[in-house]
Amino acid sequence: MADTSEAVGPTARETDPQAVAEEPELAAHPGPRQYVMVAIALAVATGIEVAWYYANVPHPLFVALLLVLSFLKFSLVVLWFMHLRFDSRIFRRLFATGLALALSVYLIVLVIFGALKAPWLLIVAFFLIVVPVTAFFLRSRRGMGGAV
Amino acid sequence: MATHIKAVEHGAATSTGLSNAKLGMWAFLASECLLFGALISTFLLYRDRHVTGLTPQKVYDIPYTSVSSFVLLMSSLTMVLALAAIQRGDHAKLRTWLVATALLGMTFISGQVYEFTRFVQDGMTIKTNVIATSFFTLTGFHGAHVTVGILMLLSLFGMSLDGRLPVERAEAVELVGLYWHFVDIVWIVIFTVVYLIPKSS
Repeated sequence: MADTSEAVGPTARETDPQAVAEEPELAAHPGPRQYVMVAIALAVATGIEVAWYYANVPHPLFVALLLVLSFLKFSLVVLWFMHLRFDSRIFRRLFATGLALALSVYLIVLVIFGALKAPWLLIVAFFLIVVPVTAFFLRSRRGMGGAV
Repeated sequence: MATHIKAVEHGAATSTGLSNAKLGMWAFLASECLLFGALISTFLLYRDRHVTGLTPQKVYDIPYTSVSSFVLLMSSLTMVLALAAIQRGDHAKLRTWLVATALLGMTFISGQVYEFTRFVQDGMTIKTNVIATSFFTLTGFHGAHVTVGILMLLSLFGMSLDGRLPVERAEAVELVGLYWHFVDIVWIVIFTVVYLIPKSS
């Protein structure tokens, strides 16, 4: 992994002070070294997921940790590899809207067709999953000061 | 170099100051959330049905699928490194990382073809029951998306070889990258919800 980072070398913003002086927000963008760190985090999270699969733990705990790790991996890829954390808020709003809509619609579908046994679970799921996930992606902003 | 980066970051002369192509790609990805949401929730609806014949949970090979997942995750790394390479005008590295990403994607697809073949040999086909149908539809749609991504990566590689992918057109790599990463995050959800969680239910 380290070799990969070395092979890529520094990005323009690390080598060109003029670029950073002209656009300070460039300094906030991640570089190859950070991408490799994110990839290592993703690999570790996947390893924990698989190890957890073979652990003998109660069902709610088993599902909860897997969902947390899945959300962590999802967020790392969206915010860092897809640059949503560093890009314009319009992109973030577009994606968060699609995500919130999908989560809401399909939670309702799961309740209507009986996959979620109790209808009140819909309200709990909405406030525990849809609202925090949407807010998380809408608020996860860094750099691009003054962008649209 | 500063000019190059600026062209990449703020090249759009639109009312928003943003690239319409990039805006379109994000809108497309938002709509893809709904497509895959439908496929995943269909699987969840049928997962606990009492059916005859083999179900996916009985034929999964978790260690094998874990390796496939790892391969796809690492392809996201090589993809983002390809973008970083073109943004600093390093075309040799761009081509290296594009080919690496395409090869990792092909490895994933080959793994999926092998997995499907084994499932069919074990007696679970798309017609076996509704759980198998929803499983093959979901993972098949994802595989089709990965295949389209591989074709786009190879197109970018060809364009780069022809010299038709200058730094000013780095956005093309960024757009393909967004698509590729999206396919990766869909798999992150599928791996957890479809492969791992059904174990204990």
